[in-house]
Amino acid sequence: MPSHTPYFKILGLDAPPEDRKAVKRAYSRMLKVTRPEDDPDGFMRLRDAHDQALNILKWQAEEREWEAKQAAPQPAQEPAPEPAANVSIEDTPAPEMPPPETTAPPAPTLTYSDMLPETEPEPEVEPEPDTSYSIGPTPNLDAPFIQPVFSEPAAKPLIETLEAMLETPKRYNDREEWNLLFRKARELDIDDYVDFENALLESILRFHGYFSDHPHHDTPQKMPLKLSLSIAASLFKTMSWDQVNTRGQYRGNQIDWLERRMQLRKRGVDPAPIPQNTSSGGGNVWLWIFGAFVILKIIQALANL
Amino acid sequence: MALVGIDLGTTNSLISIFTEDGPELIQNSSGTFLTPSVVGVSDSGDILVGEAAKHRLITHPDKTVARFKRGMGTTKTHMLGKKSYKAEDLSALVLRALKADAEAHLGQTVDRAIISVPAYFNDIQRKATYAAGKMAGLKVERLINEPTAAALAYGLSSKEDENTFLVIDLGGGTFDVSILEIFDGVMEVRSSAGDAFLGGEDFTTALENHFIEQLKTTREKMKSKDLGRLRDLANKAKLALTTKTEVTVKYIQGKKEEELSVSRASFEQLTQKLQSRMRMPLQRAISDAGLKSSDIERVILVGGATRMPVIRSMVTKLLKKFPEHSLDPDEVIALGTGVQSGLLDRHEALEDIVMTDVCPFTLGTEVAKQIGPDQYESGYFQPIIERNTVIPASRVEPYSTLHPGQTEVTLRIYQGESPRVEDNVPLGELTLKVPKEKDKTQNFEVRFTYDVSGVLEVLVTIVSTGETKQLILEGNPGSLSQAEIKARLKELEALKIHPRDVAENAAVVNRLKAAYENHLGDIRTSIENHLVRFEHILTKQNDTDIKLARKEVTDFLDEIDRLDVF
Repeated sequence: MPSHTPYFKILGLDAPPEDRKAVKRAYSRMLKVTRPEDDPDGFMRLRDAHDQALNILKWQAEEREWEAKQAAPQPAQEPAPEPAANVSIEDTPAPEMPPPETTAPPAPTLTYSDMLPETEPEPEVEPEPDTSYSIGPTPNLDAPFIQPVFSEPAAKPLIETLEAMLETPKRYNDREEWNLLFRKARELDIDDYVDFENALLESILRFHGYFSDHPHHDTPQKMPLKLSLSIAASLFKTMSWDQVNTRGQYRGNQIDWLERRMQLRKRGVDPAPIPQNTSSGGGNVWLWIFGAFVILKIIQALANL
Repeated sequence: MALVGIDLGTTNSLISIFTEDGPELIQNSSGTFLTPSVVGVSDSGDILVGEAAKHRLITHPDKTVARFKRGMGTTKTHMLGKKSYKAEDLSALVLRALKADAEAHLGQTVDRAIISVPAYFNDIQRKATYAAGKMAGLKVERLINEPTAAALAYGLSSKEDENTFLVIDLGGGTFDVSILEIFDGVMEVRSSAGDAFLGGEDFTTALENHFIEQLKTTREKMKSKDLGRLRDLANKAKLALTTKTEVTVKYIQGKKEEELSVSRASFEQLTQKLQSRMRMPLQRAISDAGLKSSDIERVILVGGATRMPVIRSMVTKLLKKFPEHSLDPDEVIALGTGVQSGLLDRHEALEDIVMTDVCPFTLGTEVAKQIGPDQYESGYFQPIIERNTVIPASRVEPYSTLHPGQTEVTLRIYQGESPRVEDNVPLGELTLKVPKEKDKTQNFEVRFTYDVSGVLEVLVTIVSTGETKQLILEGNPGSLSQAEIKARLKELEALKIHPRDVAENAAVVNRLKAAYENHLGDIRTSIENHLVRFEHILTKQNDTDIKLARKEVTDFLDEIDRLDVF
């Protein structure tokens, strides 16, 4: 079959399919005569057509939502509630009435509350394109989230405990505290544990300065140690961060950085000695944060003029 | 000329065939479906397989090997008598025993097989399994992932049109998780994840360590024979904990009988770490399928180790759903391989069913990245086939040489999820000659093709000349070449193997001897009496008498086993 055959023809259809169900049905019908073990090449073409059909449907849905968003900006802004940056997503009041737009389908609001009860910005996971557009009609959500909000109640107290632990060296190097934390974490179900793990990684990264500009950001092994080596090693083991098969490409980079930062592995030709004077290292961080803060204030002041 | 399905397990192996009435398991010479994956050498130098060898784990731990599946595809060898064996050889011996059982049952030769492997088996381990099949005189038609096989067995009994289910397979040595979707007779594997080094045997080891602690000694100080006995007790205690909350076993140390005990709660504590290792693959399978745990409609438990209440309660807690286990967890994978053999042979009953699987890990090559002008750093991983891609799959990536005038490229193939190759599993390496052009780099394409059995093929095309080169991954220490396989096949054929009925009798004798070592006092005397009587009957060579005696002794030993644990 030549490569320019339209995907729906490969699926045995005369026209592009209307919805997912039609794709699945056509695919399963063709699959019975294009079995992967008998006709691997034919199957690969069929599978590509199937994936392409689903992708096209997804793009079309996104496009419709985007158009709906473009077409109905005015009525959506009317409620104009007081901006509340720290409000979690569930607390956001849903628009009382559907926008008076005639053509736009009201789907977005529905998909949002139904499918994403606990969405939050997660730095290491790419946002799902088909859901991110559904934020559109709810104006509050366009306000930036200053702090990530862990709307999942089950993981939240654990992360609060962790954040409190990270405040004092005595606590964050206390093995018992960590034991207790993980004993509680093991009580969580899978979905909650995923939240916990993501939040934990983010906290640990932030704690070690991953999100700040630091002169040694590219050579993190030059930064002073915070967690003791044995605690850091245990943490890696517990979260299976030391295991290859749990790393996606994204997270892999972060974990790689953390591994070097925690000096769990020396890599490359840079046998960096551990800096002796921790206070100067710490001072540097504060200097940078202070600098960033000043610049921010200046920009704000300029903007206000 | 029959096609069979084989579950080649860490602890036990089974064989099945597809009939008019669906998949059917085949009994071995001892009259059970489960053939222990144990190989030993008898005092006269004969090879023992299965039940006959299993009991010698206690009496002759130096001449018996178990759990060798974990060494598949590695250089690890086991000494049996004077000869050394690789895991492939030992697996081949188990496969040959299964094949003989099937031939006896069917009355025809069995020459083709489908063998199940853990989903998380890598390319090297899969090739080793192929080699083992070949050495057993079987044409391996296909390898099937264990959780997929299990789903096939369950899927046939599912009447609903659309269903999403999660299969948790905790076998003797491996842990696998798969998510499957069924629609219109299509069984689609959405994602697979796992841990190739986590299984029921690890739970036994945890209990064994607990007992060693109770005996106030260390593993190093114990004789291998005593360790063998202790492991047997630990295993029995583990099984008993399935129905009891508190178990005590008797261990003979010198002339004394020591009581070792464990409760269900303390067992749960002892295996905490193992349990938490199950969490990660579960999590990844769910997120890779683009789902949340609440989207899963059915949870299915497979593998003997999922009988442990510890596992069931943990799964319920993690997924907030009660798991199902309506099919025997020890048999379900073998039944699934039977279904697959029916699919492959185009059995009428399966006409409308198609199954698709995925590649559970990312496959790619090492590349160098530019980190500055004229500065390159090697050691980065370039994925070509991403994990959980539907197979068969074929993907191509463009490459180019680093320097103008370069004449040779070394392509290193890896499997794994880390951005740096040093953390991934090397699968092989190949050297490619490219035409030399003074001031130009050469472009070439690398195509990876991953077939339905999970075997990888690499094809390189040099763009300027159109020259293609198909490359066979070789030179990694674990895998055997074709010539080696042939040589090993000859060697294995030359081995003397106990005839079937003799093996069966040997199994009973060995079991009596093992029981003898495990008991004291009256019971020991009684076992000795049985042993003497049975060996006497054997010398008379009257088949009917032997059969009767065998039954009697087996019943007696079963009774003792029940008394063993409380």
